[in-house]
Amino acid sequence: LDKDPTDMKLKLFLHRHWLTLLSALLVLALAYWTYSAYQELSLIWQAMQ
Amino acid sequence: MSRNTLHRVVRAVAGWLRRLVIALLLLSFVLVIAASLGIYAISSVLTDRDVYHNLIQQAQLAERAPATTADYLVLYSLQASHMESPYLTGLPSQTWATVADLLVTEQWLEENLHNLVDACFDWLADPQAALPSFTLDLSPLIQTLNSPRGALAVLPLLQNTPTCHPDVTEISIMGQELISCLPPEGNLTALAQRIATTMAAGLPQEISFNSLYQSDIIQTETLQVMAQVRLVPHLLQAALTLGLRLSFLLFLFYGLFYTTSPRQFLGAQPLPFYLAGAFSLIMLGGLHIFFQFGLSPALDLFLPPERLELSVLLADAMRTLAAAAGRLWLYGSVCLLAGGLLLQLMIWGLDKYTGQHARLSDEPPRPGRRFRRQFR
Repeated sequence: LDKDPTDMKLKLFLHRHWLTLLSALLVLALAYWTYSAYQELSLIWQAMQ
Repeated sequence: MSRNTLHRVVRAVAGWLRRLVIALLLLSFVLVIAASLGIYAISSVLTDRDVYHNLIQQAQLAERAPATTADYLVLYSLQASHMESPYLTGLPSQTWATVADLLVTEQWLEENLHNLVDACFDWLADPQAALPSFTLDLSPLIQTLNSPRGALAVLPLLQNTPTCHPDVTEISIMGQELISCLPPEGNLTALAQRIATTMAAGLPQEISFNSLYQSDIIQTETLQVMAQVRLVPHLLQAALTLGLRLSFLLFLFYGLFYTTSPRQFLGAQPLPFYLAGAFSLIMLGGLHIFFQFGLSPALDLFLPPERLELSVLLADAMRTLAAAAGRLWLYGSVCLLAGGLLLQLMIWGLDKYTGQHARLSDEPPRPGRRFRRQFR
């Protein structure tokens, strides 16, 4: 009863959606990784012009 | 329209949209992974010097290229001496083959081809080098031109030269052409020997990329093209990295859109691998057919008709390179199919294990199972 309700809500949310959050994090990391590869390719292409 | 019906319509539309997105993601993954596989195969072959050394042996370049080499060497010697040669440029390849037999030996050509490959790869690896440090030693050629074989080599080159008009009193040798006209009477062999000796005197002891650049045969535009060529391996590598990372991303998106549980996520994995493997094999088959039947006509479009032997030589060399790339491509496609099969087996094994595990555990049977057991 003395626990903070906001803290409990956050814990519940994390408990329910940890897989979704992990997937979203993975997607973001992969998207950034892909974008950096695109930038590198774009730089080489510009150098070739 | 009631709220319930609207809800059902929205759900149906969302379902179709989800299927459409899944299909697009699957298609994109298949295209990207097949293209990446192709880039990997091409890049591995193009950047491997051993492939070119093997190509020289397999396509028998040293045996087949002397005519073309003799042609270019003689034309180079004329160009270096600032001569134009309308009679030489129209000579058939058989004539050059006769000249080549006398001037260029297979051993000399093979050795120089291998050296050229090594010099080009060393140049690609060294960013400081402006030009490949390849030197073509012409001293054996000069010796041959100064010997009686030189006269025999020059004789076929005179076949298109017109006979002198009776009024002509002066014949120029190695002026604008090899010889301005042939005297109606006279010792043609001695004349050919004189031309060969003059030609030998005009040739440098060695040709290097630097000397070609200094004599303006390699121009600034060519250097720019060479600088672009130098970036091609890096471009292929970057394209391959992008392709692989993009395919990972698409694969993950596909899995997430397809599934609502980790078990479904696993179950969705083999299909993209099967499709990508099958599509790569189809692409490989199409390219194989093109290289067998379409390459020669395509090359003929770009090369002048009198360069038939060069066209055949290029086509064979490209086929040999394509076969090396094709083997890697085939290996990659089979790996994709095998990966799909392996995943399928893993899922099957996991299902079997978890099924057994569920039976062995103390969990009460599900209502459906209990119902079936009652009527056994």
